[in-house]
Parts: sequence; C-alpha cells; structure tokens
Amino acid sequence: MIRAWTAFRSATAMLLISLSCAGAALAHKGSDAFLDVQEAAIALPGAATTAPQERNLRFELSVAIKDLDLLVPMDANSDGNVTWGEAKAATPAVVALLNQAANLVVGNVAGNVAGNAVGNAVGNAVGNVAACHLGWQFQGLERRSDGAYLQLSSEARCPPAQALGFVYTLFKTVDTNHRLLVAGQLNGKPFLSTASPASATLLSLGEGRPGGDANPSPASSGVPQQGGRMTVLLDYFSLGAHHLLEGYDHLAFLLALVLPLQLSLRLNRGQARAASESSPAGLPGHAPAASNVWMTLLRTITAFTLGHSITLIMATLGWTTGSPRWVEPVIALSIGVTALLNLRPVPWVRTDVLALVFGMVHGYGFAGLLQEAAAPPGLLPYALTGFNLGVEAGQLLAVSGWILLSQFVVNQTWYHSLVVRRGSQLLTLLAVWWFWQRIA
Amino acid sequence: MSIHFNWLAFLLCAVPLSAQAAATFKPLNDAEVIEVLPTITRSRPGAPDKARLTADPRAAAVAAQQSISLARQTGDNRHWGRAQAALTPWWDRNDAPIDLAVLQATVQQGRHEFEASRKVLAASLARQPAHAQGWLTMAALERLSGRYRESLAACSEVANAGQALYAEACTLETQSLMGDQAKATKGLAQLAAQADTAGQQSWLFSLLAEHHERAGQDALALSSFQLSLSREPDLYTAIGLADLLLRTSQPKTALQVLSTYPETDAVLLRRAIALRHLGDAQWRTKLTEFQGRVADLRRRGDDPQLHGRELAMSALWLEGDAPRALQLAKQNLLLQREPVDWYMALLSAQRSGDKPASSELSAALKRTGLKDARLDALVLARPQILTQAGP
Repeated sequence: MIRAWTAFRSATAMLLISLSCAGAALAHKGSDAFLDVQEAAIALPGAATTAPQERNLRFELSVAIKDLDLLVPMDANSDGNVTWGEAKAATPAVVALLNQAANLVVGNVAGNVAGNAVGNAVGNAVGNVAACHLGWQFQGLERRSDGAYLQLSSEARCPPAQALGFVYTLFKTVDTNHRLLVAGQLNGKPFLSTASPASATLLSLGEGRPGGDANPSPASSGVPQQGGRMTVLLDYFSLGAHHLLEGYDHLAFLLALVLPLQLSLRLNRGQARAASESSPAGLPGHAPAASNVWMTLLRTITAFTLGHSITLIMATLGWTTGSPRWVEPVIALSIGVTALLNLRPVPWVRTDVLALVFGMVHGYGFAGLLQEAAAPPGLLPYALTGFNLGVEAGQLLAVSGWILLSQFVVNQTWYHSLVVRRGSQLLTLLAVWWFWQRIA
Repeated sequence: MSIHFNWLAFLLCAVPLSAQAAATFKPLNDAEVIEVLPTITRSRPGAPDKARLTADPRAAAVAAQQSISLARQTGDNRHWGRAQAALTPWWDRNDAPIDLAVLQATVQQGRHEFEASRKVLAASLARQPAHAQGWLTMAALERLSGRYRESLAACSEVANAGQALYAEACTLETQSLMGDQAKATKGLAQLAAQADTAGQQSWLFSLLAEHHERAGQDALALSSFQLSLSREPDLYTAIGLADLLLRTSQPKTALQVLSTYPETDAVLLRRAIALRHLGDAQWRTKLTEFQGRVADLRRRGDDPQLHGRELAMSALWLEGDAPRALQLAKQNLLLQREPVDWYMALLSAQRSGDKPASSELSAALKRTGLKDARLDALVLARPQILTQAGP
C-alpha cells in the first residue's frame, strides 16, 4: 500500500475480491443483441419465370445502448444519462459501425473468415451482388429487461443458389461474452441460431435453393439450435415418450388399470382360467370375461389417451389451465381410487370412463411440462402432435412390457389373489404416500 | 410427477424465441433520459488509448477491475465479458503478469467457473507465492467448496504477504464456518470497529451478519446486515438480508430491502418468493419472467446449472417440486458448498420426504465440518454412512 498502483489494488480490488468470497449469487445473462431475419419461401423454378428468383431478406437488429456506448459515444455530455436527443445524434455513427460489424457475405460461407470477413463482405458488394449488402437504418427504441435498445433494420436482395453468410464482429474486442441471438424465417422456414463474435466465424444463412434447407448447418457458434417441423416433431415425440416412461405416477396409474385384466397370450388356457376365476359378472372392466379382455384393454387405453389428449391440447393452446396444486394430488388420488376399485369393485363404475376422466387430469400433468416450451410460432401443432404421439408410444411400450412380464404369472391360480390384490394394495399405499407428499 | 431436470432443461432449450420481451417505446422529447449508463465511458477502442491498453497491463488491469466492480454492483453479467475482453492478451497465458492472472481467476469466479478459477490461481501462486490478493481469492474459493483447512492455510498466506486485516477477516470467517463462534463474534466485531473506510466496514459487518446467522442469532444477524447496508449499499448483502427475512417470515420487509436494487435474476427470484408468501398473485408473473431468463441463458449458450442454487430455490418455493429441487440442489453442491447450498439441499430432501438423500447429505455435511444452526433442524441425527461418496 505504498505506491499508488499498489494502494489502488489493495484498497479497491482486495476489498472487492474478498467480497466475492460468497460467489455472488447474481445470475443475470450477459450482453446480447437480437437479430430478426425474414425471408419468404423461395418459389420452385419454372413456376412463373425461368430466371432464378432473387432472395429477398429483411433484417431487424436490436442493440443495447449500454453496449453501444463502449464503441460510440452515446452519452455526448458524459453525465451518465443517455437522452433521446443524444441517442438520435449518435445514430449516424452507430449505423456506420453496424454496416462494418454486422453485414452479409456471399460465397465461401463455410470457410473460417477471421479478421477479413468484413472486407470480404464489402468486396463482394459489387456487380450482381451490390444489393446483397446491408445498409442499416435507425428505426426506433425498445425496452428489454436489461435496458433500452436501438432498433435498426435493413433489406437485402441476394443472388440465389449461393452460400450466404452473416458476419458479426460487433463488440468483439470489448466484450468476450457478447452474443447475437438470431430468430426468424429463412426460405419460409423457422430459423434460429446464436452467434458469438469472439469465435470469429460466420453465421450461415443458407444457399437460397428452392425448397432448400431451412436450418443450414451451424457454421457459427456451436450453440445448439432447433427448427424444422420434423425436428420439432421428433424432439417432442421423444420428450413425450420419455416423460411417460419416467413419470412413475403415470405408469402406476396404467398399471392399476391393467392389473385386473388377465392378459394371457396363450389364448385357450388363459380364457379357460380367466373364465373360471373371474369375479362375478356385471363388473365391466374389473374382471371382464376373457373373451373381451383384449377389447377392454383397448377401450381402457383409448379412453385414457382420449382423456389426456383433450386436456393436454386445451391447456397447451391456453384455453384452460390446471394448477399443479390440485393436478398433482389428484393424479396420486387417481392411482389410489383405481387400485381400490380393483380391491372392491363398484358395479356402476366403468373402467373406461374412469380412465377417461382421470386421463383428463393426467393430461394437465403433461401440459404443465409442455407449457414451458412455447413451441416456435407455426410449429405448435407439430410439437403437440409429436408430444402426444410420444406419450402414446411410451404408453404402448409400457403396456406391452407389462403384458410380456405378466405372462409368467397370469395363468397361475394365485394371479388374482397375489398379483391383483397385493399389487392393488401396494399401489394404494403408494398413492396415499404420493398424495400426502403432494399436499404437504 | 417426476419431471426430470434434463427434460425440463430440454424444454427450456426448446423455447426458440427469446423469452425476454421487447417493448417498443417513443420518447416525448429530446431531453428525456432513455438509458442510465452504469459508468461513463472515457476511452473507446479505436482511440489512441486502444493501442496503449493492449500493450499496457496496468491499464488493462484498471479496466478489468472497473468492469469487475460494475459486475458486482449491478449484477449484470455483461461486465464479466467486458472484464475478460480487457484481459484478452493475457487470458489463459502461463506468462501473464500475476496481477492479471488473478483478475482472470476473479472473472471466472464471478461467472461461477470455479474449477477453472482455481487452476489459474494455483498456477499463478506457484509462480509468485507472495500475492495477498491471489491467496485471498484462493481462500474464498476453498471456503466456497467447503474445504476449510485449505482455506485457513490460504488465509495465513495472505498474512505472510503482508495484509494483516484481510488475513484476519479471512481466518475469522473460515473459523466461523467451522463453528468457532466465540472467536469469530469477537474478532469480526473488533475488525469492523477498527476499519477506517465505509467500504471496509460494510464488508466486515456483512461477514459478521452471516456469522450471526450461522450461529442461530437471527436478531443480531439482522442488525449487522442493516449496519453493513447503511455503511455502503451492496447487492450481495441485500440479497443475504432478504434471504434472512424470507426465512424468518418477513416477506414485506424483504421486498422493502430489495426495492432499491436492480432486478437481477437473484433479486427477481426473491421478489417472487416474497410475493408468494404475501399471497400476491404477481408472483406468477415474476416466476414466468425468471423462467424466461433461464431460457435466455440457455439460448445464448450459457449453462444455467451454474446458477443451480437459484434454480433449486425456484423449484422448491415457487414451482412446488421438491424432488426436482433436491436434484438441482444436489447438483449445485458439486459446484458450490456454502451454507445456503446445504440448506437448499437438506430442506428439499426433507420436503420430498427422501430419507436416503437426507441421510447421505447429512453425512456429507458432517465430513466438511461446517457448523450452521439453520442446518441443525434439517440434519438427521444419526446419518447413515453410505458407501457412496457424498453428493
């Protein structure tokens, strides 16, 4: 603490660093700029004209004033406050900066173009690609959770059937963690990506071929991206299937439903035994005659599917909501009620109706998960379909597994007393436990 | 329902448009202030300063320090990126001047990249052992990881490097974590009384407050937190106070304490929890915003798990999903092991009625030697020692 530099370090930095001992719990995302790209679908050749169609793209960029101030004096009088007048006065400098640091490049997109990317972009802006160049125009202001942003826009007409890239080097030298979050449509298909200026690579905007790839390979950032109907469908399918198979409560409910059905694959013996052991008649669903046991299974599973599909779709579209506060305990309850009905059948309760009604509650359970993922605009139907199909697949897999597993015991004389009764008792206990946990 | 974290993570990942809403606005006149800058930018790259900055480690250190202090004041992560940019020529270089290497470790610590931070520090301190600031940061990292012996050793190196005040505070804080209450109470109060700047007093009172809280003296903790904030307001301390108030069922006061601070993710989360306690329906809006920010983090390629503490709090207190909170909190313990991290894990285990997890956590906690009254009620009396290593 003798020399000035040391004194500064000791007085300020030491204190600051010791304060950090608690690993400050201050999550807040870093600096982001937002780019919206819009390009209509490129028509197939020969539709109207034989000449290749030009790519018409529209770009909208939002950049934080706080960040721009690092490169362009946004606060002319240096009082820490940026006024509307100051911001307007700074726009020519901002536009000049963005024309340099956020622009298009034609050809050689895949190549890694470090420092000379912008040079390429400008160099390419001659001849037939003259219009394939961004000239940003100031549009206005917007507010986001971390402050005020300038909005700029530009249009471009680019040659078709050629690789097109977006070069972004803004804030490269002043903020290592800056990101450009890109969303919109390319060739009429949803496009999503994230670019990091520090990694000095290009963001590929595709090649503009008719019916071409909507989501060009991520030449940019290594940040995962999503998009495309099939991708969405498959992703959500897998999500639905896993969710069912990992959701023990849904599995328990399914088990409670199918437990009393003696699903023997050895038809003759199974039928004979089932007929001799089945509970008194008039209890549809709980101890059906063996001849229609498979029909009962089909009806029950279909009813459950129907039930949860209804509420899942309604909740995802925002028409109704199910609060986890009651949905979760009621799901537990549904297992208990179904298991109890296996133990003490009530004549007028039909299993398929039960499956339908409780299925609706389980649907809210699924929806709670799906709602978090507001699917891409226009892709919601695909997400919903995928998720629902996934749940079905998971369900079929689980039931098939049970059928196979139960073959070892289904034809035993003690199946009913041991498997159905003991199993239902265990499921009831489990349901009570879950119910208690979920209301606690 | 067992909502597994990886699936939720996938879902958050699948939110393609930024959850961060943008609202267009039009100022009324030229004099209207549209943005308040966190600092006044004096030199910009491209100016003659730029060349000097890249060549001059001293200027780079000053720039990095300014960004680090802004990151702490505002809770705005963009300043960590700026600090890193200032250090670019020396980042991850074995021959970097030690001051700059320690600053790099500080940036990494601020971004919760604790392992990377530790490596950089260890290498730097091996090169130049007499670096008080480096040892102080190392001691903090060791404390954070629940390695108190190593922390004490680092604290004594701070003393060897000639920084008695910081060394003593460092030692007392570690001893307090290890349960040496009498020594810490007396020592920290003395240091606070001796400190000559408001900043130092504020810092020492915040250490004292945390110490009282660990000792189960909530009233003393409250007044120490308030003393600290009255000396110099500080986001981290305010959040600590808010947590104390929320834990002791004073959500209204918690909201008041946070009212003057920027709405960082941590602040947003505490506000949501307080509003929920108060039965104010607004808490749902806040929760949605918090979830949107987590989605944003993911979208920009950051790892939200680095903020597992907050994710666990949200799961337990807002989403009502104790099993997921437990999973998040256990994962978070792999990253950081401060008392609050143990608290979240043990509380989530208790709420989800997961005895094996409680037992396992209790045993792991016992091994670290951390003493904290808040945890006593949650710890199982005779933790079953499992063969499996701790969380």
